[in-house]
Amino acid sequence: MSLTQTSERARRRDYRIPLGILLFSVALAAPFIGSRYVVHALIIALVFMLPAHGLNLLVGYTGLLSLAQAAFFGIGAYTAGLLAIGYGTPFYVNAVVAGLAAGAVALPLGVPALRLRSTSFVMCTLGFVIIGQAIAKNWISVTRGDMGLSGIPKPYFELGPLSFTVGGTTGFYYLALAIGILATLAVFAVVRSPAGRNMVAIRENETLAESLGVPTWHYKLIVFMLSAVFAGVGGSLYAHYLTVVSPLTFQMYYSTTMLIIVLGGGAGMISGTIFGSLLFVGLTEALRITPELRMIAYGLCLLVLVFWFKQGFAPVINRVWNAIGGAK
Amino acid sequence: MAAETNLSIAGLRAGYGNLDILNGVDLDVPAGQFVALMGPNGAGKSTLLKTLYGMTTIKGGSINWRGKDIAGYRSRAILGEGISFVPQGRCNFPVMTVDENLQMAAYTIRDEKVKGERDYVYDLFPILKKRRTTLAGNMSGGEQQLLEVAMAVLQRPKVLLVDEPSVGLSPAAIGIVFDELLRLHASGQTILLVEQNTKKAMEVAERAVILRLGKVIWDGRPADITHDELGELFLTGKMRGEAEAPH
Repeated sequence: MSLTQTSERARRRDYRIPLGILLFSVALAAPFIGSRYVVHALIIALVFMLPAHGLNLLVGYTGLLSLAQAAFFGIGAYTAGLLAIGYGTPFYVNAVVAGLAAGAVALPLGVPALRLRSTSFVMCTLGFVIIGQAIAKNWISVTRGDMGLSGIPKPYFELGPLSFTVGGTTGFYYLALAIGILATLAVFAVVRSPAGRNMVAIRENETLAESLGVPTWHYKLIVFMLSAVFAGVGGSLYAHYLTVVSPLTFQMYYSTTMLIIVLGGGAGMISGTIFGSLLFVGLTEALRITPELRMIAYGLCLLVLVFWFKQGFAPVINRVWNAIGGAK
Repeated sequence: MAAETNLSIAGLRAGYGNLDILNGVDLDVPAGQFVALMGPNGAGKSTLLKTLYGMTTIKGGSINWRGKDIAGYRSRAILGEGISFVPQGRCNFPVMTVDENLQMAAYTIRDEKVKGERDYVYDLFPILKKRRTTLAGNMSGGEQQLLEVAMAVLQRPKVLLVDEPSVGLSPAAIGIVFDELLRLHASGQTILLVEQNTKKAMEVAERAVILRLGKVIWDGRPADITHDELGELFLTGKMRGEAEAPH
């Protein structure tokens, strides 16, 4: 039996590495293949992929449904915007501080919120977005209220003697792609570590995990903060790309979009978040030129999803990927 | 006898919130004994195990464990004291493999020791070794129950609390689970077993403790009580021809 298996495997070639290289090449060549509009849509997809990655750690791996992601996205966007305008700091400083600020705010919010269970927790996280928007609107001396922050400079880098500004769409695309790849690798490292297994244990059976000695409460709080860090970094990219941040950055629509990316892509699967970002943000952004078609396409995607892909698209993607790898 | 006693429960009253289930349980368990806790529904058997594992509200009495009163300790602390609990119903991580489940069970054990402990468990349960890369959720109920016992045993507990391992299992699977419990006991493991399947429990345990309405009403060797007498005790709380046991 093992003999037939080996010969079977020998016959079926593993095309994963060539395909991976191909996909990566397409990603690299995108600004030269696609129109400027397509590249813009890809940037927006990459920006939203960051908070979605964070949310996937929380929802997909730890089993905590949160709608707070837009709040941390907004905190990151405002932090980066204020730093860039007020102090002219380089982009990487803004991005790191934005991530840390969002993570730091998640601590006092997470402590009471994580005491709640299921729906109460979801409602509580929804409240954070609403409070965030109210603060952004009313703390006028800092946030300039409804006017928002405008004229946020394009990402500026200072590496030793070298300093440059990422001005054009193409440049920003590569910046977003690099950060997106780094974030994906970071998520990969987390979920493959023993900590990732403990997170899945909490999702599957929190009581059992607790009784085996896993400090479930600490884990949930740390993952909640970590997901906020991802959202904060995403927010900083968003601020520098659009160069404008308004209280509307804190909106439920963003939280639900991030949730649709994660659940539609396939919760608890990294490939799902990547695919979900491209489908639900990239595609809808690309279809912005035809608003009627856009909402129809979006609606159709959701319908296809709930009828045929209840676990999201990731299981299918993974099956195809494994088939390409030679598995039956 | 007293010197050998490991676990000594005295006047234990406990329950959930305002609801009292245990109304003064007294029980001494010497090291190495296999005790079956039996009784009708609502007698407090499972509650007694949960109370020993720090999962209920204690209202009074004491749980003396090797010279220390552990009443009111939290589950994790009790685990650290060498008491492990196998809860009722499915309690593994179905999307993880057998190996990963055992790694989770080894959470409190230092990294370098984990592998050794896993090998120890695989030696104890060869069935699991064959299934080490199988997802727990894809195994039979009996195998999953064995995995759950193994997860508790991996902590090398001094006392193993097992709550109704036969629930939902086929007779063949029940046989396998009980055989494994017997083997564990033969190697010196102290076991406190709650079981509805009284016939099976009486076969394996060396001591039967019968609870009714939150109190111990009979305590002795299984051989000293017939099945009919057991039924009588369950229903009425007294043996035939005996005055009703005071509550």
